Amino acid sequence: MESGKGDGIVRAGANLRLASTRFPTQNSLVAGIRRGDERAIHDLFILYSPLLRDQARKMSVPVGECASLVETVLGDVAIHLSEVDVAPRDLTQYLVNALRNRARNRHRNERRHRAIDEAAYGEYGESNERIVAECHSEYGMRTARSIDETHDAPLRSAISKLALRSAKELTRDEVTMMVGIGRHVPLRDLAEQLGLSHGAARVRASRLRERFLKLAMQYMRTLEPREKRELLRFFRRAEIKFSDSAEGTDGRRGEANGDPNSLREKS
Amino acid sequence: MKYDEDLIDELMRLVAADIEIGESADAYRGEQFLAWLAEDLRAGLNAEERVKDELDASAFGRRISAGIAARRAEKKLPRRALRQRPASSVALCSESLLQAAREGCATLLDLSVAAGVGRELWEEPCDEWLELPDDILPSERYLALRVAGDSMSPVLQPRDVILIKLGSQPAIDELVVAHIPEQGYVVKYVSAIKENRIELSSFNHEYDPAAIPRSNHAILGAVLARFHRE
Repeated sequence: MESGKGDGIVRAGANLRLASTRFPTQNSLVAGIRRGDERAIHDLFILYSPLLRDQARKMSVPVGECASLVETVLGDVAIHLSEVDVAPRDLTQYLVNALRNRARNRHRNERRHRAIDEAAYGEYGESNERIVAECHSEYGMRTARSIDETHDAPLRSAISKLALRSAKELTRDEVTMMVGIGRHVPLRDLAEQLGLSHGAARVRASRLRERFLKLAMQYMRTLEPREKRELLRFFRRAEIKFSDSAEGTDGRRGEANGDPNSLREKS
Repeated sequence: MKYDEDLIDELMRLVAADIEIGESADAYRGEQFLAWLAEDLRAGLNAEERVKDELDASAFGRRISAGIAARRAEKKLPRRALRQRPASSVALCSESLLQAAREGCATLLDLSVAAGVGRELWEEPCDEWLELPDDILPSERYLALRVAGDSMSPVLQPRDVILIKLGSQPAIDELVVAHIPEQGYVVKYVSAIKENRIELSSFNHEYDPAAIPRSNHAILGAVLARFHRE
């Protein structure tokens, strides 16, 4: 942890190098924003908007609204920084968290509005026009779909549960590596990020796959049968063979899934 | 154990994407990693996206910077009630300053008239005075001007009145009345002071910034207070 010069505040990322010639560190960038310097605010946008747009897309914000959401968040942060004495400890994390909070609030408001709209359509009125309105409503469209369509795909919920478990069980470096592999980051770059040699990173990546696989299989016993089926399909495609009992899909026969020894390798 | 690494990586990709949006995502949110990710995503932009980002960033920088300056000005210059009265005698502005100060007032002029091309502020006849509030001691160096235009909106609205102290030295973020050869007298805020020029900007980001030479005559004075008709 290093001390941020100029504002007397300790910030971990204060002297992290930035790709800006005018503001080479987070510390100098934050100081510029606090002065209201137009160029610092310009660089804040250039440096962080691609990351925040990416985060917004991951948070399921519609593509057409990502840019305006990011601009709002960056603007609010810049104004906030210019008015308070305390600067964020780590600027990038601070920005990402601000965006995630905003996206969550947006989703919450959307759900609330939809619930209010649907409640209105659900009430029986006297007018015949209600039927016409309902036929054209989003609610009407959704209720007209088959039951299967309205349910989450089993793979989605299986992945979400596995993600929760992985975030809890894996170390920070392992999760970093997993995110990196997921983003198709070259192993050499990942090694640099984690302070490892290329060879060591390759070994770590291989160990991570093993560990992740083990974790996934241990976790399969807690999944619902339809979720389990989806993961089993994945493993089968990866040429990992299971014993018959491991492939049980009724939620009782699949107990052996927790045991990685129940796997049969394909030579 | 042998398996298809690509498929396991694909499963890891799905799980990692979910971790990234989950509540428990703190595990991978190291500052260094995120900073690197930001750099990597920026490096991945194509030429068209870069140009768009650059344009958006310029507009964003100007808008937010003006917004910050406006909020500071709002705090520094609380809005006061406007009290004006007819001058005791009609005189040229230069003659009226001392007389108004003696009666606890400041000479009031219309900035839109003063901004007229080819006219000097001191040659304007003055028939209105601004009554100064109790906490502002009268001075012959005070001059009141009625604002015209919306370039300083939302801090200054058309018909608001500002009190300026003649001959003040400009400082960053301060509101000043400056003389721009092509535009006459204008009220702006000081966005930058360079070695030989002063950059002036508007709170309304639709107006372009202007630069004036750093000479003694370029700045008429700094804004001390603003008054609003109730």
